[in-house]
Amino acid sequence: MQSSYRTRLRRATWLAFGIPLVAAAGASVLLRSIAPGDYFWPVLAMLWAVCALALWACVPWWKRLDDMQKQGHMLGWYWGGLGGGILALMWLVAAVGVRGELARGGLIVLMGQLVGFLLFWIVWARRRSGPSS
Amino acid sequence: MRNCLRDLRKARGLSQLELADAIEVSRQTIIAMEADKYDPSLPMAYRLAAFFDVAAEDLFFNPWRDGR
Repeated sequence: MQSSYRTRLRRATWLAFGIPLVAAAGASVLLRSIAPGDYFWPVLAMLWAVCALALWACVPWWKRLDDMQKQGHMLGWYWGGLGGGILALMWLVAAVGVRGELARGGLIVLMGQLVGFLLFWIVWARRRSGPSS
Repeated sequence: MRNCLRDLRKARGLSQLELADAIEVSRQTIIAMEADKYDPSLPMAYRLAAFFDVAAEDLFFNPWRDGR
């Protein structure tokens, strides 16, 4: 017998939270045993692989969300996530100055978000293009 | 967008949760649509219309068409 929508969504939600948490915990244990900056490329590759695994684990959850739930997450992340990030960055700049390492780190995160946003937006726009007349 | 989702659901004797499971959406979404606080996408509107075996415009009233 097929499980209900609620059950499938709950299962996907647990996976979407559980797999990233377990992967992050494993990665953090490994990171503690390595001095910062050592094995830069292998560490970066491992961290990106963990991020890719975390995002992959979220795909079934995202696909099971209905339109309204997706809209809520997109609105929340776009305005709330971006707004919160910018406010926190301004707090960092005020606290440690624009040349502080923390502020620079925050700026790098925001730049990464911008690049990611642009990539996704371009793919989205291209997939929705059609013949004009 | 005004609609008669609540009336159709009650006529079928379904709870919001039962309808949500049948349509594969969250109960929150059914509640929001019934309260005219969320306009569904076209596929979702058609899916609901097919479930109740009515035309989409008989379920979700087109405010630009006949001033309902």
